[in-house]
Amino acid sequence: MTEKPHTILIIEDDTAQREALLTRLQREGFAVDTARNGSHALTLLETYTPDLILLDLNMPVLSGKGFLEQVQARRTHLPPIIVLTNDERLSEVSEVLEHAVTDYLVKADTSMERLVALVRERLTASVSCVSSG
Amino acid sequence: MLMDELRSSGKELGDHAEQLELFALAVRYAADHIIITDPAGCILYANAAAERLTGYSLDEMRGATPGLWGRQMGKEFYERFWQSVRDRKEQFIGELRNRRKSGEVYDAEVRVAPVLDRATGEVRCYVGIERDITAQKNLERTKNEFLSLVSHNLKTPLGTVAWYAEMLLDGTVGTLTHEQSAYVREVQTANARMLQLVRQLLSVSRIELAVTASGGEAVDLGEVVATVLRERAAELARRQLTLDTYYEHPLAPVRGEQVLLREAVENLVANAITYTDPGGTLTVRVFHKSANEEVYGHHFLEDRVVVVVGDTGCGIPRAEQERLFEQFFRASTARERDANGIGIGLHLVQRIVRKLHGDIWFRSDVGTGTEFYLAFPHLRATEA
Repeated sequence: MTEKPHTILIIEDDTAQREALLTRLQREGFAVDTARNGSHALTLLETYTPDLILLDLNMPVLSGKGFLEQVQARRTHLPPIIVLTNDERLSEVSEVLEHAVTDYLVKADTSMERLVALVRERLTASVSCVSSG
Repeated sequence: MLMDELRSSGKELGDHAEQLELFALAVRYAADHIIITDPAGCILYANAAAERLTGYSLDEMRGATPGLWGRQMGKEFYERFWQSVRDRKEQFIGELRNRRKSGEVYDAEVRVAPVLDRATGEVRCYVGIERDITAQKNLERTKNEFLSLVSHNLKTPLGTVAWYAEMLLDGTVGTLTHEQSAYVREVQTANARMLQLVRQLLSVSRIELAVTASGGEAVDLGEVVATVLRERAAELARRQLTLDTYYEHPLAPVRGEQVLLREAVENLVANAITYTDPGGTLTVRVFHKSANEEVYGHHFLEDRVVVVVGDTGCGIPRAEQERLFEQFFRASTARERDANGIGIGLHLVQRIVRKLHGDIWFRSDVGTGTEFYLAFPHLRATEA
Protein backbone atom coordinates (compact mmCIF):
# COMPACT_ATOMS: atom_id res chain seq x y z
CA MET A 1 0.00 0.00 0.00
CA THR A 2 1.46 3.38 -0.95
CA GLU A 3 1.30 6.15 1.62
CA LYS A 4 -0.85 9.14 0.73
CA PRO A 5 1.48 12.00 -0.28
CA HIS A 6 1.61 15.19 1.79
CA THR A 7 -0.26 18.11 0.28
CA ILE A 8 1.33 21.54 -0.15
CA LEU A 9 -0.29 24.79 -1.23
CA ILE A 10 1.96 27.35 -2.95
CA ILE A 11 0.66 30.93 -2.87
CA GLU A 12 2.83 32.95 -5.27
CA ASP A 13 2.01 35.52 -7.94
CA ASP A 14 5.28 35.27 -9.90
CA THR A 15 4.67 32.61 -12.55
CA ALA A 16 8.30 31.58 -12.98
CA GLN A 17 8.83 31.13 -9.25
CA ARG A 18 5.48 29.37 -8.79
CA GLU A 19 6.34 26.92 -11.57
CA ALA A 20 9.81 26.28 -10.19
CA LEU A 21 8.42 25.49 -6.74
CA LEU A 22 5.65 23.35 -8.21
CA THR A 23 8.01 21.30 -10.38
CA ARG A 24 10.56 20.75 -7.67
CA LEU A 25 8.08 19.80 -4.94
CA GLN A 26 6.18 17.48 -7.26
CA ARG A 27 9.47 15.75 -8.04
CA GLU A 28 9.87 15.22 -4.32
CA GLY A 29 6.59 13.31 -4.36
CA PHE A 30 4.30 15.90 -2.81
CA ALA A 31 0.78 16.65 -4.01
CA VAL A 32 1.02 20.35 -4.85
CA ASP A 33 -1.64 22.98 -5.48
CA THR A 34 -0.98 26.57 -6.48
CA ALA A 35 -2.75 29.89 -5.96
CA ARG A 36 -1.90 33.18 -7.68
CA ASN A 37 -2.71 35.37 -4.69
CA GLY A 38 -4.18 35.35 -1.18
CA SER A 39 -7.75 35.61 -2.31
CA HIS A 40 -7.40 32.70 -4.72
CA ALA A 41 -5.88 30.68 -1.87
CA LEU A 42 -8.76 31.45 0.51
CA THR A 43 -11.18 30.02 -2.08
CA LEU A 44 -9.11 26.85 -2.38
CA LEU A 45 -8.95 26.50 1.39
CA GLU A 46 -12.76 26.30 1.56
CA THR A 47 -12.57 22.85 -0.02
CA TYR A 48 -9.53 21.30 1.67
CA THR A 49 -6.69 21.81 4.12
CA PRO A 50 -3.15 21.24 2.86
CA ASP A 51 -0.46 19.82 5.15
CA LEU A 52 1.73 22.87 4.57
CA ILE A 53 1.53 26.33 2.98
CA LEU A 54 4.28 28.25 1.16
CA LEU A 55 3.34 31.93 1.16
CA ASP A 56 4.70 34.90 -0.78
CA LEU A 57 4.04 38.34 0.73
CA ASN A 58 4.01 40.89 -2.05
CA MET A 59 1.04 39.86 -4.23
CA PRO A 60 -1.79 41.66 -6.01
CA VAL A 61 -5.48 41.37 -5.02
CA LEU A 62 -4.76 39.98 -1.56
CA SER A 63 -1.22 40.14 -0.17
CA GLY A 64 0.39 37.53 2.03
CA LYS A 65 -0.26 39.65 5.09
CA GLY A 66 -3.90 40.09 4.14
CA PHE A 67 -4.17 36.35 3.61
CA LEU A 68 -2.74 35.63 7.07
CA GLU A 69 -5.19 38.02 8.72
CA GLN A 70 -8.21 36.55 6.96
CA VAL A 71 -7.26 32.91 7.26
CA GLN A 72 -6.63 33.28 10.98
CA ALA A 73 -10.00 34.92 11.47
CA ARG A 74 -11.71 32.03 9.69
CA ARG A 75 -9.90 28.99 10.98
CA THR A 76 -8.67 27.79 14.31
CA HIS A 77 -6.32 25.08 13.08
CA LEU A 78 -3.71 25.97 10.50
CA PRO A 79 -0.98 23.87 8.91
CA PRO A 80 2.64 25.08 9.10
CA ILE A 81 3.09 28.24 7.03
CA ILE A 82 6.48 29.06 5.51
CA VAL A 83 6.75 32.65 4.34
CA LEU A 84 8.93 32.94 1.26
CA THR A 85 9.67 36.51 0.22
CA ASN A 86 12.35 38.97 -0.79
CA ASP A 87 11.09 41.57 1.64
CA GLU A 88 13.71 41.93 4.32
CA ARG A 89 12.43 45.12 5.90
CA LEU A 90 12.58 44.60 9.65
CA SER A 91 9.16 46.18 10.07
CA GLU A 92 7.63 43.64 7.69
CA VAL A 93 9.37 40.69 9.27
CA SER A 94 8.23 41.59 12.77
CA GLU A 95 4.66 42.26 11.61
CA VAL A 96 4.38 38.96 9.77
CA LEU A 97 5.90 37.01 12.63
CA GLU A 98 3.05 38.14 14.84
CA HIS A 99 0.86 35.78 12.82
CA ALA A 100 0.94 32.00 13.09
CA VAL A 101 3.91 31.69 10.78
CA THR A 102 6.40 28.84 11.13
CA ASP A 103 9.33 30.26 9.14
CA TYR A 104 10.35 33.41 7.33
CA LEU A 105 12.71 32.79 4.42
CA VAL A 106 14.32 35.26 2.05
CA LYS A 107 13.91 33.75 -1.42
CA ALA A 108 17.17 34.96 -2.89
CA ASP A 109 19.07 33.53 0.09
CA THR A 110 17.29 30.16 0.04
CA SER A 111 18.30 27.33 -2.25
CA MET A 112 15.72 24.82 -3.42
CA GLU A 113 17.65 22.14 -1.56
CA ARG A 114 17.34 24.01 1.72
CA LEU A 115 13.69 24.75 1.10
CA VAL A 116 12.86 21.11 0.41
CA ALA A 117 14.71 20.05 3.57
CA LEU A 118 12.77 22.59 5.62
CA VAL A 119 9.45 21.53 4.10
CA ARG A 120 10.18 17.90 5.07
CA GLU A 121 11.20 18.92 8.56
CA ARG A 122 8.03 20.96 9.12
CA LEU A 123 5.81 18.18 7.76
CA THR A 124 7.41 15.61 10.06
CA ALA A 125 7.09 17.92 13.05
CA SER A 126 3.45 18.72 12.38
CA VAL A 127 2.56 15.07 11.83
CA SER A 128 4.19 13.96 15.08
CA CYS A 129 2.39 16.86 16.75
CA VAL A 130 -0.95 15.64 15.50
CA SER A 131 -0.33 11.99 16.35
CA SER A 132 0.93 12.75 19.85
CA GLY A 133 -1.88 15.24 20.47
CA MET B 1 50.93 114.39 27.18
CA LEU B 2 47.93 113.60 29.38
CA MET B 3 45.57 114.79 26.70
CA ASP B 4 47.25 112.48 24.20
CA GLU B 5 46.78 109.50 26.52
CA LEU B 6 43.17 110.37 27.14
CA ARG B 7 42.58 110.84 23.47
CA SER B 8 44.09 107.47 22.59
CA SER B 9 42.20 105.57 25.33
CA GLY B 10 39.06 107.34 24.20
CA LYS B 11 39.76 106.13 20.72
CA GLU B 12 40.34 102.61 22.08
CA LEU B 13 36.99 102.75 23.83
CA GLY B 14 35.43 103.92 20.62
CA ASP B 15 37.09 101.05 18.80
CA HIS B 16 35.77 98.64 21.41
CA ALA B 17 32.25 99.95 21.08
CA GLU B 18 32.50 99.71 17.33
CA GLN B 19 33.81 96.16 17.54
CA LEU B 20 31.07 95.14 19.97
CA GLU B 21 28.44 96.56 17.68
CA LEU B 22 29.99 94.70 14.79
CA PHE B 23 29.91 91.43 16.75
CA ALA B 24 26.31 91.99 17.80
CA LEU B 25 25.30 92.67 14.19
CA ALA B 26 27.21 89.65 12.93
CA VAL B 27 25.49 87.34 15.41
CA ARG B 28 22.11 88.96 14.87
CA TYR B 29 22.20 88.47 11.11
CA ALA B 30 24.32 85.32 10.79
CA ALA B 31 22.84 82.80 8.36
CA ASP B 32 22.70 80.07 11.01
CA HIS B 33 20.34 79.99 13.94
CA ILE B 34 22.23 81.10 17.08
CA ILE B 35 20.89 81.16 20.62
CA ILE B 36 22.49 81.83 23.99
CA THR B 37 21.05 80.22 27.12
CA ASP B 38 21.87 80.40 30.82
CA PRO B 39 23.31 77.28 32.54
CA ALA B 40 19.78 75.99 33.17
CA GLY B 41 19.00 76.18 29.46
CA CYS B 42 16.74 79.29 29.61
CA ILE B 43 17.11 81.44 26.52
CA LEU B 44 18.83 84.80 26.98
CA TYR B 45 19.24 85.67 23.32
CA ALA B 46 18.20 84.43 19.88
CA ASN B 47 19.24 85.85 16.51
CA ALA B 48 17.13 86.59 13.45
CA ALA B 49 17.78 83.20 11.84
CA ALA B 50 16.60 81.48 15.03
CA GLU B 51 13.36 83.44 14.82
CA ARG B 52 12.99 82.47 11.18
CA LEU B 53 13.80 78.80 11.70
CA THR B 54 11.65 78.18 14.76
CA GLY B 55 8.87 80.64 13.93
CA TYR B 56 9.03 82.07 17.46
CA SER B 57 9.92 85.72 18.10
CA LEU B 58 12.78 86.69 20.37
CA ASP B 59 10.24 87.82 22.99
CA GLU B 60 8.51 84.45 22.91
CA MET B 61 11.81 82.60 23.20
CA ARG B 62 13.37 84.70 25.94
CA GLY B 63 13.06 82.88 29.29
CA ALA B 64 11.79 79.67 27.67
CA THR B 65 14.05 76.67 26.94
CA PRO B 66 14.77 75.30 23.45
CA GLY B 67 12.18 72.66 24.39
CA LEU B 68 9.75 75.26 22.99
CA TRP B 69 10.52 73.88 19.52
CA GLY B 70 12.35 70.69 20.56
CA ARG B 71 11.20 67.69 22.62
CA GLN B 72 10.85 65.55 19.49
CA MET B 73 13.61 63.12 20.40
CA GLY B 74 13.80 60.21 22.85
CA LYS B 75 14.90 60.76 26.44
CA GLU B 76 18.23 59.14 25.68
CA PHE B 77 19.16 61.84 23.16
CA TYR B 78 18.74 64.66 25.66
CA GLU B 79 20.56 62.67 28.32
CA ARG B 80 23.55 62.31 26.00
CA PHE B 81 23.30 66.01 25.26
CA TRP B 82 23.43 67.11 28.91
CA GLN B 83 26.16 64.61 29.73
CA SER B 84 28.28 66.23 27.08
CA VAL B 85 27.70 69.96 27.65
CA ARG B 86 27.01 70.06 31.42
CA ASP B 87 28.86 67.06 32.89
CA ARG B 88 31.87 66.88 30.61
CA LYS B 89 31.69 70.53 29.52
CA GLU B 90 32.30 69.48 25.95
CA GLN B 91 30.78 70.66 22.71
CA PHE B 92 27.81 68.60 21.56
CA ILE B 93 27.21 67.93 17.88
CA GLY B 94 24.16 66.04 16.78
CA GLU B 95 21.24 65.73 14.41
CA LEU B 96 17.71 66.01 15.69
CA ARG B 97 14.13 66.74 14.77
CA ASN B 98 12.41 69.89 15.95
CA ARG B 99 8.98 71.44 15.54
CA ARG B 100 8.36 74.98 14.31
CA LYS B 101 5.68 77.16 15.88
CA SER B 102 3.52 76.31 12.85
CA GLY B 103 3.69 72.65 13.86
CA GLU B 104 5.94 71.72 10.95
CA VAL B 105 8.66 69.22 11.88
CA TYR B 106 12.16 69.82 10.53
CA ASP B 107 15.58 68.15 10.68
CA ALA B 108 18.41 70.14 12.18
CA GLU B 109 22.06 69.79 12.84
CA VAL B 110 22.86 71.28 16.19
CA ARG B 111 26.12 72.34 17.82
CA VAL B 112 26.07 73.47 21.42
CA ALA B 113 29.18 74.72 23.20
CA PRO B 114 29.42 75.53 26.90
CA VAL B 115 31.04 78.91 27.65
CA LEU B 116 33.05 78.53 30.84
CA ASP B 117 33.79 81.15 33.45
CA ARG B 118 37.49 81.94 33.27
CA ALA B 119 37.90 82.11 37.04
CA THR B 120 35.70 79.27 38.31
CA GLY B 121 35.59 76.99 35.29
CA GLU B 122 31.82 76.71 35.74
CA VAL B 123 29.39 76.99 32.82
CA ARG B 124 28.36 80.63 32.32
CA CYS B 125 26.13 80.08 29.36
CA TYR B 126 25.59 77.86 26.34
CA VAL B 127 25.82 78.90 22.72
CA GLY B 128 23.69 76.84 20.40
CA ILE B 129 23.91 76.87 16.61
CA GLU B 130 21.31 75.12 14.52
CA ARG B 131 21.12 74.51 10.79
CA ASP B 132 18.06 73.34 8.90
CA ILE B 133 19.08 70.13 7.11
CA THR B 134 15.57 68.99 6.16
CA ALA B 135 16.23 69.17 2.41
CA GLN B 136 19.45 67.20 2.78
CA LYS B 137 17.72 64.59 4.97
CA ASN B 138 14.83 64.22 2.55
CA LEU B 139 17.25 63.65 -0.28
CA GLU B 140 19.00 60.99 1.77
CA ARG B 141 15.70 59.30 2.58
CA THR B 142 14.64 59.33 -1.07
CA LYS B 143 17.99 57.87 -2.03
CA ASN B 144 17.61 55.08 0.49
CA GLU B 145 14.05 54.29 -0.52
CA PHE B 146 15.18 54.16 -4.13
CA LEU B 147 18.09 51.92 -3.25
CA SER B 148 15.84 49.60 -1.30
CA LEU B 149 13.25 49.44 -4.06
CA VAL B 150 15.80 48.79 -6.78
CA SER B 151 17.59 46.16 -4.74
CA HIS B 152 14.36 44.39 -3.92
CA ASN B 153 13.25 44.34 -7.52
CA LEU B 154 16.65 43.10 -8.65
CA LYS B 155 16.66 40.31 -6.13
CA THR B 156 13.46 38.71 -7.37
CA PRO B 157 14.64 37.86 -10.93
CA LEU B 158 18.10 36.92 -9.63
CA GLY B 159 16.49 34.55 -7.17
CA THR B 160 14.50 32.99 -9.99
CA VAL B 161 17.66 32.44 -12.04
CA ALA B 162 19.30 30.82 -9.02
CA TRP B 163 16.41 28.40 -8.52
CA TYR B 164 16.22 27.36 -12.17
CA ALA B 165 19.99 26.91 -12.44
CA GLU B 166 19.92 24.77 -9.32
CA MET B 167 17.08 22.67 -10.74
CA LEU B 168 18.94 22.16 -14.00
CA LEU B 169 21.96 20.93 -12.07
CA ASP B 170 20.14 18.71 -9.56
CA GLY B 171 18.41 16.71 -12.28
CA THR B 172 14.85 17.84 -11.59
CA VAL B 173 14.24 18.04 -15.34
CA GLY B 174 16.66 15.41 -16.62
CA THR B 175 20.42 14.91 -16.71
CA LEU B 176 22.79 17.41 -18.33
CA THR B 177 25.95 16.56 -20.20
CA HIS B 178 29.23 17.36 -18.49
CA GLU B 179 29.68 20.47 -20.64
CA GLN B 180 26.12 21.66 -20.10
CA SER B 181 26.56 21.34 -16.34
CA ALA B 182 29.75 23.40 -16.53
CA TYR B 183 27.91 26.15 -18.43
CA VAL B 184 25.04 26.25 -15.97
CA ARG B 185 27.53 26.46 -13.12
CA GLU B 186 29.01 29.56 -14.78
CA VAL B 187 25.53 31.07 -14.88
CA GLN B 188 25.11 30.17 -11.23
CA THR B 189 28.41 31.75 -10.19
CA ALA B 190 27.80 35.01 -12.05
CA ASN B 191 24.29 35.18 -10.66
CA ALA B 192 25.52 34.60 -7.13
CA ARG B 193 28.05 37.41 -7.51
CA MET B 194 25.33 39.76 -8.72
CA LEU B 195 23.13 38.80 -5.78
CA GLN B 196 25.99 39.54 -3.41
CA LEU B 197 26.36 43.04 -4.85
CA VAL B 198 22.64 43.70 -4.56
CA ARG B 199 22.71 42.44 -0.99
CA GLN B 200 25.45 44.90 -0.13
CA LEU B 201 23.57 47.79 -1.71
CA LEU B 202 20.53 46.76 0.23
CA SER B 203 22.49 46.69 3.47
CA VAL B 204 23.38 50.35 3.11
CA SER B 205 19.76 51.36 2.97
CA ARG B 206 18.80 48.83 5.63
CA ILE B 207 21.09 50.46 8.17
CA GLU B 208 19.31 53.73 7.65
CA LEU B 209 15.93 52.02 7.84
CA ALA B 210 16.88 50.17 10.99
CA VAL B 211 17.56 53.65 12.42
CA THR B 212 17.99 52.76 16.00
CA ALA B 213 14.29 53.53 16.36
CA SER B 214 14.16 50.64 18.77
CA GLY B 215 16.83 52.34 20.88
CA GLY B 216 18.94 49.21 20.57
CA GLU B 217 19.39 46.10 22.63
CA ALA B 218 22.10 44.77 24.94
CA VAL B 219 24.64 42.95 22.78
CA ASP B 220 27.56 40.78 23.86
CA LEU B 221 30.23 41.66 21.31
CA GLY B 222 32.30 38.63 22.28
CA GLU B 223 29.47 36.40 21.27
CA VAL B 224 28.94 38.25 18.00
CA VAL B 225 32.63 37.88 17.13
CA ALA B 226 32.72 34.20 18.15
CA THR B 227 29.69 33.41 15.97
CA VAL B 228 31.18 35.12 12.92
CA LEU B 229 34.50 33.28 13.38
CA ARG B 230 32.77 29.92 13.85
CA GLU B 231 31.02 30.35 10.52
CA ARG B 232 34.31 31.20 8.82
CA ALA B 233 36.32 28.36 10.36
CA ALA B 234 36.18 26.15 7.25
CA GLU B 235 37.19 29.02 4.97
CA LEU B 236 40.10 29.94 7.24
CA ALA B 237 41.34 26.36 7.16
CA ARG B 238 40.95 26.15 3.40
CA ARG B 239 43.01 29.29 2.95
CA GLN B 240 45.57 28.04 5.45
CA LEU B 241 45.20 31.01 7.75
CA THR B 242 46.00 30.81 11.44
CA LEU B 243 43.44 32.31 13.77
CA ASP B 244 44.58 33.91 17.00
CA THR B 245 41.75 34.98 19.31
CA TYR B 246 41.36 36.55 22.72
CA TYR B 247 38.05 37.13 24.49
CA GLU B 248 37.88 38.92 27.82
CA HIS B 249 35.41 37.39 30.32
CA PRO B 250 33.08 38.67 31.53
CA LEU B 251 32.42 41.40 28.99
CA ALA B 252 30.08 44.35 29.55
CA PRO B 253 27.28 44.48 27.00
CA VAL B 254 27.12 47.33 24.48
CA ARG B 255 23.99 49.02 23.23
CA GLY B 256 23.33 48.12 19.62
CA GLU B 257 21.54 45.99 17.12
CA GLN B 258 22.78 42.43 17.02
CA VAL B 259 22.21 42.17 13.25
CA LEU B 260 24.12 45.34 12.48
CA LEU B 261 27.06 44.59 14.77
CA ARG B 262 27.33 41.19 13.21
CA GLU B 263 27.37 42.70 9.77
CA ALA B 264 30.17 45.05 10.82
CA VAL B 265 32.34 42.27 12.29
CA GLU B 266 31.57 39.99 9.35
CA ASN B 267 32.78 42.58 6.86
CA LEU B 268 36.05 43.15 8.72
CA VAL B 269 36.72 39.43 9.05
CA ALA B 270 35.82 38.76 5.40
CA ASN B 271 38.24 41.49 4.29
CA ALA B 272 41.01 40.12 6.49
CA ILE B 273 40.52 36.68 4.92
CA THR B 274 40.33 37.98 1.35
CA TYR B 275 43.42 40.15 1.57
CA THR B 276 45.76 37.78 3.42
CA ASP B 277 47.92 35.15 1.69
CA PRO B 278 47.94 31.49 2.77
CA GLY B 279 50.15 31.01 5.81
CA GLY B 280 49.12 34.38 7.24
CA THR B 281 47.52 35.09 10.59
CA LEU B 282 44.22 36.66 11.62
CA THR B 283 44.17 38.16 15.10
CA VAL B 284 40.82 38.92 16.68
CA ARG B 285 40.55 40.32 20.20
CA VAL B 286 37.62 41.53 22.27
CA PHE B 287 38.29 43.28 25.58
CA HIS B 288 37.61 46.21 27.92
CA LYS B 289 39.41 49.49 28.12
CA SER B 290 38.81 51.77 31.07
CA ALA B 291 38.20 55.48 30.75
CA ASN B 292 41.30 57.46 29.78
CA GLU B 293 43.35 54.35 29.07
CA GLU B 294 45.01 54.51 25.67
CA VAL B 295 43.36 52.40 22.99
CA TYR B 296 45.75 52.22 20.04
CA GLY B 297 46.31 55.95 19.85
CA HIS B 298 42.81 56.92 21.02
CA HIS B 299 41.57 58.09 24.40
CA PHE B 300 37.99 57.85 25.57
CA LEU B 301 36.42 59.58 28.53
CA GLU B 302 34.29 56.56 29.32
CA ASP B 303 34.88 52.81 29.41
CA ARG B 304 34.80 51.04 26.07
CA VAL B 305 34.48 47.54 24.68
CA VAL B 306 37.12 47.20 21.99
CA VAL B 307 37.25 44.77 19.07
CA VAL B 308 40.48 44.38 17.13
CA VAL B 309 40.56 42.58 13.79
CA GLY B 310 44.10 42.26 12.47
CA ASP B 311 45.68 40.49 9.54
CA THR B 312 49.11 39.96 8.02
CA GLY B 313 47.76 40.77 4.59
CA CYS B 314 48.60 43.13 1.75
CA GLY B 315 47.93 46.36 3.67
CA ILE B 316 46.66 49.72 2.47
CA PRO B 317 48.98 52.29 0.86
CA ARG B 318 49.43 55.32 3.11
CA ALA B 319 48.27 57.75 0.43
CA GLU B 320 44.95 55.96 0.11
CA GLN B 321 44.21 55.48 3.80
CA GLU B 322 42.29 58.70 4.15
CA ARG B 323 39.68 57.57 1.62
CA LEU B 324 39.27 54.03 2.91
CA PHE B 325 35.76 54.45 4.35
CA GLU B 326 34.36 56.26 1.32
CA GLN B 327 31.52 54.57 -0.52
CA PHE B 328 32.74 52.78 -3.68
CA PHE B 329 36.40 53.45 -2.84
CA ARG B 330 38.78 50.52 -3.14
CA ALA B 331 42.44 50.56 -2.23
CA SER B 332 44.79 49.72 -5.12
CA THR B 333 46.13 46.72 -3.17
CA ALA B 334 42.56 45.44 -2.82
CA ARG B 335 41.81 45.91 -6.52
CA GLU B 336 44.91 43.93 -7.44
CA ARG B 337 43.82 40.95 -5.38
CA ASP B 338 40.09 40.90 -6.02
CA ALA B 339 38.61 42.62 -9.05
CA ASN B 340 35.00 41.99 -8.08
CA GLY B 341 34.40 44.08 -4.97
CA ILE B 342 32.52 47.35 -5.24
CA GLY B 343 34.00 49.17 -2.27
CA ILE B 344 31.02 49.15 -0.01
CA GLY B 345 32.02 46.86 2.88
CA LEU B 346 34.08 49.29 4.95
CA HIS B 347 31.70 52.12 4.20
CA LEU B 348 28.95 49.93 5.65
CA VAL B 349 31.01 49.11 8.72
CA GLN B 350 31.67 52.78 9.37
CA ARG B 351 28.00 53.67 9.04
CA ILE B 352 26.99 50.92 11.41
CA VAL B 353 29.59 51.89 13.99
CA ARG B 354 28.59 55.55 13.86
CA LYS B 355 24.92 54.68 14.10
CA LEU B 356 25.68 52.86 17.34
CA HIS B 357 27.79 55.72 18.76
CA GLY B 358 31.01 53.76 18.40
CA ASP B 359 34.35 54.63 16.84
CA ILE B 360 36.34 52.92 14.12
CA TRP B 361 39.92 53.47 13.01
CA PHE B 362 42.82 51.42 11.70
CA ARG B 363 46.56 51.08 11.25
CA SER B 364 48.02 49.62 8.10
CA ASP B 365 51.30 49.13 6.30
CA VAL B 366 51.74 47.71 2.83
CA GLY B 367 53.16 44.21 3.06
CA THR B 368 52.84 44.00 6.84
CA GLY B 369 49.09 43.97 7.36
CA THR B 370 46.17 45.89 8.73
CA GLU B 371 44.51 46.23 12.12
CA PHE B 372 41.00 47.60 12.50
CA TYR B 373 39.79 48.87 15.85
CA LEU B 374 36.19 49.22 16.95
CA ALA B 375 35.28 50.84 20.26
CA PHE B 376 31.76 50.98 21.68
CA PRO B 377 30.47 52.57 24.88
CA HIS B 378 29.16 50.19 27.53
CA LEU B 379 25.50 49.79 28.06
CA ARG B 380 25.23 51.47 31.46
CA ALA B 381 24.10 49.32 34.37
CA THR B 382 21.00 51.47 34.81
CA GLU B 383 19.96 50.74 31.21
CA ALA B 384 20.55 47.01 31.22
